[in-house]
Amino acid sequence: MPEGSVRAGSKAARDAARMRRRVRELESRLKTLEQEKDAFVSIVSHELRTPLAVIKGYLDLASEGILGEIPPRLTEPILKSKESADRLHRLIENLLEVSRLEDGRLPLKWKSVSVHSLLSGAVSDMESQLKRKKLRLKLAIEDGLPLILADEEKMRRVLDQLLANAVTHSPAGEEVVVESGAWKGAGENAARAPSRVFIGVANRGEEIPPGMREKIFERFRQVEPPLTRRKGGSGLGLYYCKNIVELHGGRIWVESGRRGTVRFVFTLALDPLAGRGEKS
Amino acid sequence: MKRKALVVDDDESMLRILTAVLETEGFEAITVPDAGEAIARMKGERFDLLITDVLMPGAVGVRSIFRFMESLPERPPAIVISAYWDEDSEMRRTYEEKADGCLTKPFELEDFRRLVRKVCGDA
Repeated sequence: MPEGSVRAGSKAARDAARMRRRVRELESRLKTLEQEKDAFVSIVSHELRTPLAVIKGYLDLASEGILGEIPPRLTEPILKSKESADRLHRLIENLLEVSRLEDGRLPLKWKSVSVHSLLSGAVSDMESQLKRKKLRLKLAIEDGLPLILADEEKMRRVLDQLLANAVTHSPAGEEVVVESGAWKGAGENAARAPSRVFIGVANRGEEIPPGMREKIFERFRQVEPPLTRRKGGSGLGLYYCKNIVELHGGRIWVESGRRGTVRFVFTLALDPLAGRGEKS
Repeated sequence: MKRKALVVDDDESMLRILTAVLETEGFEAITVPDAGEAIARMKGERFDLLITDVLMPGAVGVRSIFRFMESLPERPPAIVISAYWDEDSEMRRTYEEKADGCLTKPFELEDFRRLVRKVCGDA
């Protein structure tokens, strides 16, 4: 081999080694930055909880009438402040849970759960918000659904999130439909007992463009850009839902048509731990 | 006679909120800003319920309250409240073992009431 080619070859090898070192350094720096970001989110979120506890506490005392009779002109402002405080609370808890989820510190507490009581509880907590927006609620649960193995509290947060979305995006006076049944879709053998259930939350609302239907489950993604959007939200709720549903062996997606129906559907395995050897 | 609750928190507003709810549950609430004062009050009085925050200023920590209560002939039911733990954190697990109930700030007043009734055997 000519001497020039040997020199060129060893220079290329040195360059490649230098590049590999640089990539490793950048990866390590990125990991450190991620850890610092998570620590920052955690510290800020925990710090926010203390003043929020006071705000929520006083608003709850006021709306329960414990602080005395509320003048009628203050009823609405107190109610709105309470709703905002609850939204802020959800945002903080979502930030904390997502940060724990991402670094694998969100253990699930598995237990047998009735889909019926899960949905009834979530719907009943949403009643006052539904009433205020004059929304009708239709709850359709198939008879004889088996119990599912799930983390009840986290599954409730998923349902709260989807119901809150439906209420926010539904025009006043419309209907919100919550339904559940045995999943008969892809992956199920029609001749066998179902191994999954599905839960759907549907409302009338603006169509979600086809290109956004998967993206809205990504972190900080929303249909409307942050600076022009008309409805609130952090862009973390659906990301949280997707992660929790997947940890339950399920899948979540959205169906949206031009006629203005938006339907979030997710499936859940009856026994997400089957074959994983984790059963408690 | 009204039952007596000792409420320990360094946040004056939080003390007022907890007091207002406890009064609706039939308690007289005695409030103190730190663990040291809590122990001093418990040396001279008998309480039917203890509610305490975890992270407060002062040289005496909340663990000292629990250590002190071991010396009492009958320790009152205790609820520990904090904004700084997560459900699976080490700190929460520690207090779940020591106390009768734990709550994370912010909380719904109804959840606080339910917990008070539960630990006092009123539920």
